[in-house]
Amino acid sequence: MVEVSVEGKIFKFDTPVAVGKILKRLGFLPMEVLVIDNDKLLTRDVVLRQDKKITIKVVYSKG
Amino acid sequence: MKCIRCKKEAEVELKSHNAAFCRDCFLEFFYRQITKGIKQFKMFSKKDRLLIAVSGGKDSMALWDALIELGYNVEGLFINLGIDNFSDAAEEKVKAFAELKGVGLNIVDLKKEGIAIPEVVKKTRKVPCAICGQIKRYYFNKVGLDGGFDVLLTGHNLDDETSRLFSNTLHWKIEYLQDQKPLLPSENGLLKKAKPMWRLTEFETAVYAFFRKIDYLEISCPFSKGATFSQYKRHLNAIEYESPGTKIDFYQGFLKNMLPILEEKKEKVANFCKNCGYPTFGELCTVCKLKML
Repeated sequence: MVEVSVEGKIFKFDTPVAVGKILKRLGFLPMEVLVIDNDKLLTRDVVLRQDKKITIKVVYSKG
Repeated sequence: MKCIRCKKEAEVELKSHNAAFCRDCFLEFFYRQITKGIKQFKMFSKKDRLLIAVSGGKDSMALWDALIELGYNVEGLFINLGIDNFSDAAEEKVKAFAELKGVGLNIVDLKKEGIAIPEVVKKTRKVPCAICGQIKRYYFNKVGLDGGFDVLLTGHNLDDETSRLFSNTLHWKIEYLQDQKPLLPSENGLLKKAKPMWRLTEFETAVYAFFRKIDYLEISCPFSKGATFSQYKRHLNAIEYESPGTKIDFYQGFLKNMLPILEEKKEKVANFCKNCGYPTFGELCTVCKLKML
């Protein structure tokens, strides 16, 4: 299971799952967010196969 | 995905450049884009004294950091807008950064000036972003000229420029389109202004801030929620996703093809404020009028 944290909300996805698929399901375009795995950024082609917690940081300004 | 330069594992994909980069190669890409943006418009050199307007957000902080890394002589200017739970938090971030880097920081406190944004909005009932922009531009210019700086810099990125261009075109705001360029020369009591990050997107700036571990303010100004430009940014991102490179083409095409035509019709500022000397179309500038309310 991959746990995805987005602005305080948690979403869960079964493995294996590609980062691009997570973004699509959550309604984000790749250029609107950073997908963070600890200290590293993940590109949309990365497939997550093991249990993991990642963070999605929205980077387009809402103001 | 592999880095197109060194073949290490990529951390960033940039479709508009048909590229993917590892961390080190992305940083080089970022610095190269800033340098290219500066040189393309002959904005300034390393001999110039630069003043950067910093809000505490990712864009201005990223630009400040990058210019320091590139060896430019740059001081910060922070304007405390007097907005509760926002302005003081932003000031703390900016002060901490300046201290960490050992660079100069100038601060203007609008509460002390008697024109804190919440009070001004209450008194004038004007759109907060419009009046705030006017006040900030006044102090950018004043602090820059009084301090003997050569150029004032802002952290506007490609998304800022294209969303503004999109909005001004949709509503045919010719007077705003005439001024929409990465470099505004010094004239009529106005300091030279430059936007060195005009080639870089908001995403690229956020990646840079993440890689460089820049501690920036992540909350938005409470007065700017739902601003139209943000909606336009998302529309343009949707187009960019389908057709990578559209945003930079849109902006560069405007600069090359449309701006020269518009500039021929530009009205020059004819007056100076009777009170403070700031260039204005009327007898008094906006800031002096507000201080008299």
